[in-house]
Amino acid sequence: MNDKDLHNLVRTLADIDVSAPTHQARLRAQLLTQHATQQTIVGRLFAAFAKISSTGVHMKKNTIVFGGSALAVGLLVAGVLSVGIMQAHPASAAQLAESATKKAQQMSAEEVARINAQYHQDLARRLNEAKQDKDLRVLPRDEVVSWGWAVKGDDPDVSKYLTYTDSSNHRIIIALGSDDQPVYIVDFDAVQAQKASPANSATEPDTNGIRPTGYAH
Amino acid sequence: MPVPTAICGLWLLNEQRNPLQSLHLQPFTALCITLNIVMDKNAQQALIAQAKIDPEAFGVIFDAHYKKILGYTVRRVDSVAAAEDIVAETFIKALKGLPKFRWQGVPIEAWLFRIATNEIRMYFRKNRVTVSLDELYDQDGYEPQADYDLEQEAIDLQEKLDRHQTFRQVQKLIHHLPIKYQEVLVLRFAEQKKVGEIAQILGKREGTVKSLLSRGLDRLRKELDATPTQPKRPKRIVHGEGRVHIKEEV
Repeated sequence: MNDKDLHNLVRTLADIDVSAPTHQARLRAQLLTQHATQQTIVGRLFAAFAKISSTGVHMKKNTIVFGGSALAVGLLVAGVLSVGIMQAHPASAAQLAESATKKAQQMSAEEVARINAQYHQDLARRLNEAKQDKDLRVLPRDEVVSWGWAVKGDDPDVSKYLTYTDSSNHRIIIALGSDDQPVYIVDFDAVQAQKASPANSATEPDTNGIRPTGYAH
Repeated sequence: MPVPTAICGLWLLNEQRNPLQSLHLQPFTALCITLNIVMDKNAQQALIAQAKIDPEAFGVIFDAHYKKILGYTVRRVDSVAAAEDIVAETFIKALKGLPKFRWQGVPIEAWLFRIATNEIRMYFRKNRVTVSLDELYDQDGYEPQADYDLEQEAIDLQEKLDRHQTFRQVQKLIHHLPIKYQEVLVLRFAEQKKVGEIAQILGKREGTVKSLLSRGLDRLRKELDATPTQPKRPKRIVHGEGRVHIKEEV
């Protein structure tokens, strides 16, 4: 059989009109519901979380997980959340999740949008600041691991860690993904100061203070 | 640039300038996609950006590509039920991957074909065995919840494919080839994709795709020679306006 006949032979696979309107309609409804849920819950929790964590905690949008909390488990089971949170806060993950959920429920859509916008402005500012800092350098992974409690050095979502010193003389760590976009930013000194604060010692979890407590992928 | 393409692009860009006023996709954008008008890079980028925040925009992408992805999957795997699962998984993965999607010049359609191709690879790798519902019931007392519309639709489509002898014979022949050849042959000749598009879908170089196509055809020819009952040779008659009518040789 010559090449042309062979081409035509394979083309016969396309001769049947394939359609499944019922399957299409149901899948569409399922996807759109999931999309809406994802936007609402993640957007609200993100904003709430950003609001209650006044310092030290930064994360990218759509990537919030409350380590070990029932809420996180529920959301993960529902397929709403896909990536993890850096939990760098004196309160335990469960407490954090509870407060974030409460706040998220109380917030208006405008407030959620405003906080999200603020976060992105902050992200842009920090990235700009980092680019201009002469001390900006790539952190070797083992060094990141040795800083242990503030940044998880083996996050599979992160391809590279950068560090620089900001205008307040704080050491900042920027974790970049494989696409060179920030996965999260941690104000190392702010977290450390918060950890050392006597006011926080009573609420420290038994995991040696502030550290990433949960990842889910 | 064709006029409709340009109009689509400008319209979308205009929507992007006023994101707060465009929570719902403009009907014209939906029309562009429904009519399968090729959108330019900026328009596609804008649509993806909108789909990240707007379920309706994602719905438009879904509507425009569902049938193509289903058709491709049905041609690649031999069970309609499995194909429907793969299609569902493809769009669920696309939805989940949307927040992370960064425009790198790969069109939406190629991106969806790529996800579907990966899902099909996984399907073959797992070597899934289909167990009949009757067997399940006999073994475990499992009684599925009836969903007659959906089930009947899959059964009807399966019967339609099974009645088409040439389809089944060709599919069987192609299934004898390694998966890398199955992918390029079906994409090139059944899905009518250009070599460049296949390269985008598979993440390979165009040279590699051409070489896979050539070797795939050789392997297919050998399979045919080794097959005692060959599929009827299709006769393709090209009418005006490029339409093709196929007649099986008797």
